[in-house]
Amino acid sequence: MRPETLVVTAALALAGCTRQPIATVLDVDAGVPPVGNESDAGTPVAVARSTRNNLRFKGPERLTTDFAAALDLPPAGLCNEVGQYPCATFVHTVTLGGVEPYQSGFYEPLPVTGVTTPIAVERMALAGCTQRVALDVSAPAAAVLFKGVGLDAQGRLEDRAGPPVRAAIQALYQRGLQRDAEAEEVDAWIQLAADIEAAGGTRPGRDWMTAVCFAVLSSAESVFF
Amino acid sequence: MIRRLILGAVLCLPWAALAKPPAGGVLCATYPSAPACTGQQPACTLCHTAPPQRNVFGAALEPHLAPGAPRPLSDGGFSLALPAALRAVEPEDSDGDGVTNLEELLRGTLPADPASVPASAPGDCVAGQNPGYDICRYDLRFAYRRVLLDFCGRSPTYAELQAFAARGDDNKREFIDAELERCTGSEFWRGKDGQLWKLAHPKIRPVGSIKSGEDAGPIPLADYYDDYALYAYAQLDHHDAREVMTATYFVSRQTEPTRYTATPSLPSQFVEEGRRAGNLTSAWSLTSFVMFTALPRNAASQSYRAYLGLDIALQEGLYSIPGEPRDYDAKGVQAPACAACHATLDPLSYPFRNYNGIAGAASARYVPGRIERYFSAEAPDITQIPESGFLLGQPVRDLVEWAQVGANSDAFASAAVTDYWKLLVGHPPTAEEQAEFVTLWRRFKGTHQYSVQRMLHDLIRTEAYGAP
Repeated sequence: MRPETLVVTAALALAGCTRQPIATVLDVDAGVPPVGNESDAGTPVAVARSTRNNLRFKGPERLTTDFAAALDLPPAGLCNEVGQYPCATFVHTVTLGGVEPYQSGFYEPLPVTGVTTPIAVERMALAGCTQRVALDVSAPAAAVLFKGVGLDAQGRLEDRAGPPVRAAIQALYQRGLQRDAEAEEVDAWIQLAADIEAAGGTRPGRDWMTAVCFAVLSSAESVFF
Repeated sequence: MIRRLILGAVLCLPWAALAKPPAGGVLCATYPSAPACTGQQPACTLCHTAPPQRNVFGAALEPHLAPGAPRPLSDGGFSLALPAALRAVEPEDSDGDGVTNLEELLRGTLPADPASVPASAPGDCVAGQNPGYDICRYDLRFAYRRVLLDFCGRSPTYAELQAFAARGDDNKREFIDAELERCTGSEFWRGKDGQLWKLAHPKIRPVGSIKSGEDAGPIPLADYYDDYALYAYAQLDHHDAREVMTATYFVSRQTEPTRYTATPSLPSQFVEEGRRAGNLTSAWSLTSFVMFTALPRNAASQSYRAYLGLDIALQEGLYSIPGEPRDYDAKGVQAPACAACHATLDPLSYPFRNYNGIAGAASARYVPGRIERYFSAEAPDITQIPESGFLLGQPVRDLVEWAQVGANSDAFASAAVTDYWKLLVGHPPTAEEQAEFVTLWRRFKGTHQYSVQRMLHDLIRTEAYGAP
């Protein structure tokens, strides 16, 4: 499966989740049902909206620290372009809301995130998740996220809805978002595994692990505070 | 009666505020609670695009300014006429944004900018079900997460949040304060390229190619790491934040972990102790902002912007001095389009006259008679530049007094707290946040005696910081 397909699939799956504290809101002022925030069953989920609109983007240093902590990777190794140029502190620093005062004269962060900022965030999340999945699959005894998640001979999850998969999703939420996953969220990720298998890739189990990790770490809840 | 009050206010204003243009002082006498008047004066851009050209609000005022009186109005006539003109346009909506001029003035938005409108007040908050956040009130869990991210550079772990949730509310507040103390010792906060250094970048404006010392560039002229060290030192450990402008000492930096230590001398600094004024007279500031100029207007305006938050290029902090600009260096600054700013800027710059920028072995030093020695041929009257000048409309005898007056001003306290507000709240104070903001910088100046550390404990308890 191509990475783009993974990303789109994961994003669609995430959009179907409910109770995303940031993404799911009720337009109290308008007094109308929420738009685009329905559960899988189509039931409106009423979550009151912040009136302060005061979310802040984490920026390069905090994204690095949080992603590295979630994935139990050394910050310096989280994401390096062509294997040697650090994503957050060198290549994408300004794009990610950082500064480059000494050589480029960027003394203050850009006042808004740029059109390429989400791409850089996704780059970091995907690079980190790819490493974590590779480590967890190659050394299951020392797995951090996907502990006990077995793969069958076709590379599929041995038990899509089994306890190890559910535990892995919980571990990902607790390490990445510092909360437990809602039941609807767990169900959506399990459904994603079925969708990926149906798409016919050569290693659907690993692709699912990467996709769910990527989608959680690159979510609004993860990158804003 | 109101005319008498205004006349009294005009006559009682500091004499410099009587100077042309007196509009800011009169507006603040008319609307003393306006956010633009709390610890500052409104920028000229409230009524002008660039003086004397008026914006839509200024244009609406003009016909009400002593109608029929011969133009130009004297300063006194202008001052007496302005309050009535302001009252006359109060119910109008000059910029067509749906908010009256009066409401814009009282809520701190711009009556000439349709994009500047008051936001919903916190009191408008509508509660509702939200399992993650207490959206209408100070949310201790939200604040805890922010404190760790802001000062330690990381989110709390799942286990840390669980433990936090198990605490009582009073205990949570104490714990957040303790975490703030702990995290301000982190490298993320105080280390090289940490958060404090980020606040310092636009003040110091480093240029890597001419840096000397550690991380030297190809043309090493001065070491700005000394400036970062003094800035960070003044912000930390209950030191007096004003000393970034007034210190007669220097600061060295040790690493692993980062520590800053005051020291009476550094091999990279050259100004004698009696002529030092913190980072205003550092080798880097003199090299970079004075450079080769006789009258260092750039050094003065950068100091004004960096430490008092007043950007003359944005027509902020204009306190025109009568008889200025004198144009000692024959740059043509008496032209009307220039004089509006240079009547403030030039007397702001005179106290820098004896500080050398780039001058070979005499670089970055205080040189008595500097103008006479190096620049006497530049203009007929250039040696007449005095060392005394004016800051915030107040006479100062030299740069050391310039720095002291600046550091003790409301503008300094407001600018210092604004830096942290922007860093930690994420935007400059809005009209709705003005009350909390003004309280904060006044306590910083009074109760906290310029301790940033104590001010930060206040800041993280504001609704602006802790209410999602």
